[in-house]
Amino acid sequence: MSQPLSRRRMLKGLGAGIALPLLEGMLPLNALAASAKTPPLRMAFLFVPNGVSMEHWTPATEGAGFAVPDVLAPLSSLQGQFSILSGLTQQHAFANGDGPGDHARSAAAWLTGVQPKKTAGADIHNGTSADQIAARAVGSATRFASLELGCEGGREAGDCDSGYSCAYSSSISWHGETTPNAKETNPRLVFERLFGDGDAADRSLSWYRRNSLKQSILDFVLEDANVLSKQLGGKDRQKLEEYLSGVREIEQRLAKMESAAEALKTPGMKTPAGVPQDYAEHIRLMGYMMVLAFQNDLTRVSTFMFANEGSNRSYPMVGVPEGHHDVSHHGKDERKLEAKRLIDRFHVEQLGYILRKMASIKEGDGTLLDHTMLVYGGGISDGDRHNHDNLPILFAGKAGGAFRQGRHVVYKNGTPMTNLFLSMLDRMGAKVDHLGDSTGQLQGLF
Amino acid sequence: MPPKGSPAPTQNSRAAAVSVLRTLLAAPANLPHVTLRRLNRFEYENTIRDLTGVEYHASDEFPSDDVGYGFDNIGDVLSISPLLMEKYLRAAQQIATKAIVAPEDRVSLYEGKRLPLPVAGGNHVEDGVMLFTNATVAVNHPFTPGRYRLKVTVTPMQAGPERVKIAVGFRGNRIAVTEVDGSVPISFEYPIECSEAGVFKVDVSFVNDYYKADAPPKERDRNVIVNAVEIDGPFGGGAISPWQAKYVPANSSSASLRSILKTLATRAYRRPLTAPELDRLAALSQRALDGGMSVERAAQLGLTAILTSPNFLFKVEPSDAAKPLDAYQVATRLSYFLWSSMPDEELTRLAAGASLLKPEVLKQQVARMVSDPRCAAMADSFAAQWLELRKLHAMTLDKGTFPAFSEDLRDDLIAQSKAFFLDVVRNDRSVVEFLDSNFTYANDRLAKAYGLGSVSGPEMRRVPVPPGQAGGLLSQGSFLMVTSNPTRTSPVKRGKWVLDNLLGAPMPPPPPGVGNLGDNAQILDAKTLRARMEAHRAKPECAVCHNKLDPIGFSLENYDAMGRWRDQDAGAKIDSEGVMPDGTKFAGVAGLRSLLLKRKDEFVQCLAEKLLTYALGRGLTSADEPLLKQAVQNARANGYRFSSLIETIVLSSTFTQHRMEGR
Repeated sequence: MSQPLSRRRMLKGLGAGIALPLLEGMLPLNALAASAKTPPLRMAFLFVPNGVSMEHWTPATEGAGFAVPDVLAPLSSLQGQFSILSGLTQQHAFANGDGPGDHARSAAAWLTGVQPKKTAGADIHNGTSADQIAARAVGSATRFASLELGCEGGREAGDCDSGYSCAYSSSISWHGETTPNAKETNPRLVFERLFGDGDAADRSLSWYRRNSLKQSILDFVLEDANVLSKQLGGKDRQKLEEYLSGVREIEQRLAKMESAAEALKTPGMKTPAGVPQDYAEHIRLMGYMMVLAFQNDLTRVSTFMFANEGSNRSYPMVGVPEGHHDVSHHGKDERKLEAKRLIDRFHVEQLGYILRKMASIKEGDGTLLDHTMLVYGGGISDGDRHNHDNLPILFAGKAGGAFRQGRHVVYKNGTPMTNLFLSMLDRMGAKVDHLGDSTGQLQGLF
Repeated sequence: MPPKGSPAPTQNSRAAAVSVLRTLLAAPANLPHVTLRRLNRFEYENTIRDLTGVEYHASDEFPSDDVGYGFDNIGDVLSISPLLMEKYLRAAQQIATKAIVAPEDRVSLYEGKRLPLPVAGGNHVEDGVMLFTNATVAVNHPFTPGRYRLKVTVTPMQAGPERVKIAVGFRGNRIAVTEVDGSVPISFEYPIECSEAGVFKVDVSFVNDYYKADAPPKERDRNVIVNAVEIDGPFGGGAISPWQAKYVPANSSSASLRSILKTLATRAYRRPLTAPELDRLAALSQRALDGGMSVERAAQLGLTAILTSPNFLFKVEPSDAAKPLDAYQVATRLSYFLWSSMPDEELTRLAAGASLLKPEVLKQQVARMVSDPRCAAMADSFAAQWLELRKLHAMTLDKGTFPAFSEDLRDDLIAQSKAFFLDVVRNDRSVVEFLDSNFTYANDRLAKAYGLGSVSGPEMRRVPVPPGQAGGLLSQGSFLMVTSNPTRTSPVKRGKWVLDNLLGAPMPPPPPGVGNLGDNAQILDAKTLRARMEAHRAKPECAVCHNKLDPIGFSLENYDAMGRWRDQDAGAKIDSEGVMPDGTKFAGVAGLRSLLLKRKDEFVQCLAEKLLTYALGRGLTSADEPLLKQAVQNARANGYRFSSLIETIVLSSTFTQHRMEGR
């Protein structure tokens, strides 16, 4: 074989290659080798609904070396990598004069620390969530500012909880005060979003993925939106503003893709077929999508709702045919308490899978988990009482060495959970003075 | 409502206060504005089908739409997240390439590293696969019936007495053996004909390997590099869809691009285009032509932009609620109300001449649209939400408790209620048949499981209600199951469903601090579900609402969580008696039915309320009250026919934002 280059040139001359469209800005095909710099810090919030059986969750002793309670047993092999934070409270999930609707409120307030406005339709209003504040600070470094995952879509009919819009109980991530972030529930769609559909060669050739072409389409529709905006007023213009902000976000992503660091990623697995029948498999696959996104530095911020708040899904795989919401109102009934324990433990098993995946990925001087701050838990403590103090909160990952893990830290009951977020955001490099009802950074984490 | 025994305002003072408030609130000036609505998933899917002929499954691709006031087409609630925007752009690209096939898209190129290696005897080199012994490079390619042109590019490395020879095959049959001369890349073309659709193998083999170790280096080794396999096609009939033939005809000139785009955008925006809009659209597509691409490619680009534009994604109306809608906007409201899709040619034509705004024309159109197959969207969207059928999709019963339950059966129940609903709509029956009918729908599976006589085949068909059984919605498994828990019935949920969806009298949610069943020992001790609920009702704060909810639910206890008839529950005879707070005693589904029939105007108003909310895409206020009363009056005067409700809504000034004369 001689003169490969000249032959290649001749090949083109003969017209064997497809005529490449002229509009494209070629995607950088030569991926830069993974940077040898310090791995970035990631932040994840994993949510479970309907409270947790606290007597099987809370360690008996404070500090390091606690005996792992029953519900947390699936994490035994990870001891030293996570902590339980007791006493944290979401004040704005309580009624505070708004009457019933604890499920909706507790999901909506979980990451915002803001009392969601009680409304079934018009004028939903909440705060911006902690993950989105982080996404704003570090999102420009990655293709996706943040990733919102779940296993259940929004409710499809009827109202959701005592006069609260379904948007509240199905969203923990809030882009802005009036915009809940839609979440992706199909692993195939997440995968295609992260890695594109088709193989790498397809992606580089596909006419439609040419960035400059996309850009000219976006320019066109932006102009349309601007013309329209002049004719509209009030709430209509607000709706159009959501459209515009979506378009701008895509533009930013395109700009990022032009930089060499954003070369095509290879996930090392095939596109998932769709939503698995098996719920455990579904959670794991979605969790794995999050891990892949972190590993490939496609995003550094993610939320993941195992189920929507108030979910009445049944858990036959652990012997609980009744609905989750139904048994969470246990009324001290032994059978229901037991069912609730089994469900909680099932969720923690899936968490264990995700954490172990993260711990198995070597990165810099440690693992992916070491460079992550992950919060797992919910906005309801006891499912029967609907209380929002002393919440079940598990905190995993060493945040690049900042946090001492493996402890049971007991805070004074009533300590705002937003204080924890403030500390995490600070660590993430998102400087904010307060978030919702926060009163200052959480002490004793470091 | 204060608990029994507490002081309350007198009947007279209540009535007086309500009357004053009604007058104040019903002023037309108080009619709220409908916030700018985007298409929801269902509407998007239907609109794409009617606009481009492409079946796009938005429900599988887009995040779910938020629900407000019981429906997922409410302007205030429908939002666009960055994720959804991304999906819109991607969908637009996919749909445009599916709707319009460009010559460029016909060509598939397998080259360089994309060429798969043979099992043995080949290596990837920079520009292809080098075959150093007799070996085969094969690609698997999706074909549809038609003629194709296969182009193979190879680089021979000559040695020995013969020239390099390659053999080309299609679906395992050799179609040619070609001798390759020279020492630079060279292409050969082969026509192939494919008679059926499928993924088939195209292969290129090196067939005369030669190696002589003692020859001088240049004469020692004969090899070949396969550089590329290009498959171009199909050509000939059937290669483009009838839709494409109509809107982007084959061999369109670049001069016709502007008019192609104008037609596409006018349909997509559901109104005529302004000149600057068309100019910008043409300029965008021109970029593809300037880049040397085909008219089809340029039209694809234009269609992608059109489908991403806010003018397509939003149903644009004036922001001022006092301003009348123009005829195109009325056509859009009407077609999304009855079809969940874009206006068809007839509606657009009537809008163009503004005659659509005449009440008699609107009436004719309603009649035409209701009998059109697209009206099935009312069952899939309106009824599926009104009757909470969509919730049923996400619901499973415990298979241990209900071995007869299957996902298929659940789908049948949904189909049954939809078919029943459509029967009333299409045949313009009295809406009172929703409460009481002598017919229902069933297929073989459903009939067998629910004892609805003998039916053969999987399609839903109309069957008479067997003697001794109840018709109407109350006896349908969809309602009875969606209101149950996975292992048992829930009389409270059934009561709530009836109050919410049939009587329009929703109960306020439970006050804070009250728990569910089983909060105290007395309740826990009670044996049956009914006894436990009665103990629970002894608490005054619970009784206020449960006095209404529970008796309704109890009357339906003869239906189990699947909705099958039963006489006993856990060995005890079912007690289906109940007493309403006003002392009315009734028993069983028959008792409940006659109770509801006595209050049929309340039911009709409830249905009118749901329909109006759905038609407008906003929550109702007291300013809408007069229209609802009007709807009930008109319905009563017209034998409660379904069309009377639809007509009252469509002809109202609330719907058109016009003063309609001559009603």
